[in-house]
Amino acid sequence: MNHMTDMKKDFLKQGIEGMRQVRLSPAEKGAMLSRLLAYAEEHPAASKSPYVWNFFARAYARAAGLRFEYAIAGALILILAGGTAASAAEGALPGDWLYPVKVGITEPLRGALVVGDPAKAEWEAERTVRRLEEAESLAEQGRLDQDSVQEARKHFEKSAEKFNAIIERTETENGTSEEIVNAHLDFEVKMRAHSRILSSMKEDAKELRHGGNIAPLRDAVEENAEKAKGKRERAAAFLKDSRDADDSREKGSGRESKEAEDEEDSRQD
Amino acid sequence: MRVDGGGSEFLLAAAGRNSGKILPLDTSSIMTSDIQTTQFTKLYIDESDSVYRFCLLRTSDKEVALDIMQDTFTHFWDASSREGGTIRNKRAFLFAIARNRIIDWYRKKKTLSIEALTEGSEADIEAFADVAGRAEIEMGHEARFLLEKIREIDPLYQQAVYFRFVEGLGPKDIAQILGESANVVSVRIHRGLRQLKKIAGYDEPHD
Repeated sequence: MNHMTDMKKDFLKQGIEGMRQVRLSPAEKGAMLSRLLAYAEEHPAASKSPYVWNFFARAYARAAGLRFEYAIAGALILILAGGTAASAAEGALPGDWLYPVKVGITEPLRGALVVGDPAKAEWEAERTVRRLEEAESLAEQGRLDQDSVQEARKHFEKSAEKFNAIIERTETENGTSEEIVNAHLDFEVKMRAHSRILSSMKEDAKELRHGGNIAPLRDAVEENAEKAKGKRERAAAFLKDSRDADDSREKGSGRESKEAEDEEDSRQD
Repeated sequence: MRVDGGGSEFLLAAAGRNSGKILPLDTSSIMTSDIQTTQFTKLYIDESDSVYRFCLLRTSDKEVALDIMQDTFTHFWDASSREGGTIRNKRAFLFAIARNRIIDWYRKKKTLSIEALTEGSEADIEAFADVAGRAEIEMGHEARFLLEKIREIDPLYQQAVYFRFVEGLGPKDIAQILGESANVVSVRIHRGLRQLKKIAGYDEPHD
């Protein structure tokens, strides 16, 4: 009798467990999350914030000696980083359901912690490289399909645009400097390196057996490398002209000083 | 049998008023948006499977379930944005939205159906769907058996039993979803379980 009762209990337990196994597929889950995050971006939240968040974030800011906004972002990252979702998202590739969390949540939050335009530009450059490395990893695993290429390209171009915008802003505000030239050079070198990797993958059909055509991504990378080269050359030429002009001014003022000294000497004589 | 919008009082309370909320301090709207997006994403990660499961088992149609689920989360985002992220029982609120959307879908479907002219009862609007012929819905034998037996109990008790034992919600949460009192929900769980045991020959589950 007890045996029968246990069997019935088990059967019910298995039934409940079985019903709980009805889930979204990873692809469905990721696609839906992308759509929801796009919706959230189009319909931003009102500027109200729960008191509790402010309270903890301000306390954290005081303790860490940070600006309030960075403190909030830091607190969020700590919360997220504590969870498995954030850690798992960090290793996600296009097509993985946690990928939208990586590019839409954890990376922007990490970016919010970066202080100063040079560091922000560097972070955006790193994000462009991350997108390319993800596409390369997918290709290596034979998982690169057309959707993944498009997704990687979309995020790559977004980060590249941000990188260029930050550099342009810095140049407008502070003038052209060696740092600007170096930033363009660094970006150009990275783009050239990945363009070469993507080109070699294009020649290996096995890695793209899922029908992914990597050419549009490689073309976008090459285009950005060319843009960076053009900007670097312009910035370097501008810097050289400015230095030449400074030198000639210095020489001119040097000559005037020499003449004045000679005149003074002749008067004394 | 009374069939209302389901949890409408709870939805209004959560979506439209400031009662019980501590007023916020001013802060950057951008950061607020980041916080809410993060909270929203976390909620999606935690609850998307549950909401999808509920929608699928109520409608037995994958596409419809996905549509209703998306609609549920976008509605949640809108309500949450209006309230500055202060919705307290997020899980129950999500299920309440999903349940209302399913009822809307069901009524719309019925008005388009000739069968609706002959079937007067709205009792099955609260019932789970027949997934027996749906091969695309992957479920083990035990799960299909349990769902069939849940479908055989009074439609009024089906969701109370489902939320209690499959989703592990307490009577207070279920009451918020169904727009009933916790006492009424407790009675429905008790009676529903008794019917289920009788029909399926189960012993009482210990969760």
